[in-house]
Amino acid sequence: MSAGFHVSKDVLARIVIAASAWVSAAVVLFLFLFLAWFCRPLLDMTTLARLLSWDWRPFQGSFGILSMLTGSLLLAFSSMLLAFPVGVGICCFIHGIGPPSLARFVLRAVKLMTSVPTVVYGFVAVFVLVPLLRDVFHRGSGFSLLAAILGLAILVLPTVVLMLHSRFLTVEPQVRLTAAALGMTSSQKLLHLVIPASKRGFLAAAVLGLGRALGDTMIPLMLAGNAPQVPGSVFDSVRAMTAHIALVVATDSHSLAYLSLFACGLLLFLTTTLVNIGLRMLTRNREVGS
Amino acid sequence: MTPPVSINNLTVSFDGTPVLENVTFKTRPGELTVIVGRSGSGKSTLLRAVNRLNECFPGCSTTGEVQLALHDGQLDVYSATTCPEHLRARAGMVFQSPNILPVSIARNMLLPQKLVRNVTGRSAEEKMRHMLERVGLLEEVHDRLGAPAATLSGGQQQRLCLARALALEPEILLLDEPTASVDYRSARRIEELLLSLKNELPMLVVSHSLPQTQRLADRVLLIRKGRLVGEWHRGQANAEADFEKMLSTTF
Repeated sequence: MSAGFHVSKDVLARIVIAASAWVSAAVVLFLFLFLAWFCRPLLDMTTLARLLSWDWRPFQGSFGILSMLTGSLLLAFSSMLLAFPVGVGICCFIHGIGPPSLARFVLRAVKLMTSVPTVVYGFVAVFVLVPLLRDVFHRGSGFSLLAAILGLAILVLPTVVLMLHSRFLTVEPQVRLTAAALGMTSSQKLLHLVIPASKRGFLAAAVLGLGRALGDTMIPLMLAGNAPQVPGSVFDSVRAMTAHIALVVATDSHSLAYLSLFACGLLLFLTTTLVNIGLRMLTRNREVGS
Repeated sequence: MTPPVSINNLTVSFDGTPVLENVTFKTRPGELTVIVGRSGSGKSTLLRAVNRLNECFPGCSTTGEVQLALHDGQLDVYSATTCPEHLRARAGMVFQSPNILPVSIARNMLLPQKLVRNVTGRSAEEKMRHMLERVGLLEEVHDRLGAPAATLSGGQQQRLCLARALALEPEILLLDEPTASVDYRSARRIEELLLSLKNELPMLVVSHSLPQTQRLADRVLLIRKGRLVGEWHRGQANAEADFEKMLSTTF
């Protein structure tokens, strides 16, 4: 290569990194524009009113998606409410609360969980969890909001644990010797030093976990029962937007109901983005406040 | 009188490689003991053997005996019944580079008091102010105690660490090159404090500085390649000449 065209590795690396970042941003923008473009036919007041209603009866001309939106939000937030504290507990166990050999085993098991296909979780849940819920509570078929919440919680658990674990790995060595030299126990170190200094890890775990829970299709499809309704209890059947898209796409491709799927896609996209922005603002405000 | 620190045949290895071998010595009450030696000779390992901090590093194995004379009697540091956290709460330590906690100045002082000594509220605050004053830091930070400790200069951070260790009322103080990363004025201030404390608090100090060792030490232990190869005492005959002779090859 001639001297005139010589590009140092550092400059090349910067170009590749910047290009990757721009491509990622462009893909996200393209997705948004794609969904917005296909939502155009829905943008008259009558159609919009039918879309933003609670009834999904496509053959009667009602294709409201609000019950699906409710289902998605209920599933995502409830599963995170369950997975987040359990994930924090597992992470603390890995980082000093548990015996080292058992902690290593738990970490390996959590890492293994990430490589298990979602459909396997769903499959196992259909044959183990659903009958168990049916037999224990005697409320319906067992395919319910509760089954899907439990399934999703297990699905997002590794995301929560591994995001926190990576943050703890950065913070813990910075305080390990100091805390030990001061006479603090492992649990005191974790509770008073590592966890407060890992806010970014908690934010990342919450954002990614919620994103995973909102976006997963297979678990709600296989476990939630898929009734397009607002559930009265955790034993009722519910349909998430992702499962709704999968179900309709499999049977329809031309009607206005089919077009409503793009609105579902757009809502999913906006919900994930809003949750992300909201959590970031919350953390930033707390940091400024403290 | 009972020696504050008594070490017998101490050997410390990491992954099977000995870093300290058969080290034996005793300190005396009211004396400030300085450990000297070249980099990598095992000085810090010796200091960390006293509060079992070496155990925080993987592959560490320790044999031998370390006894500390505490207010309630002798403590066998490596006894199976000795709790490391309890030991470290009583044997305070200050590191070579300031090891502040990633919290505010006040919390650096108050949190260990609360967790380790169970001292909170007004008593803890009074202790904090007293110790900050003792290390000459209160005047400099009294109006920003809530600021992150990381905003302090290196010298201020090291004095904060010293104040934090003292606030826990240790019964022995271990200092690993406490002035290595601070400016001249902070270093002299820390030295003056150590000299003022030596009658009330047994101290083991690792030092890399010949003038500092001359100023501080009542007793010097020379470590070379993990072995104790020389011992000097201020009261011995020909102390000055022997000091020069012993340390001429070290600094």
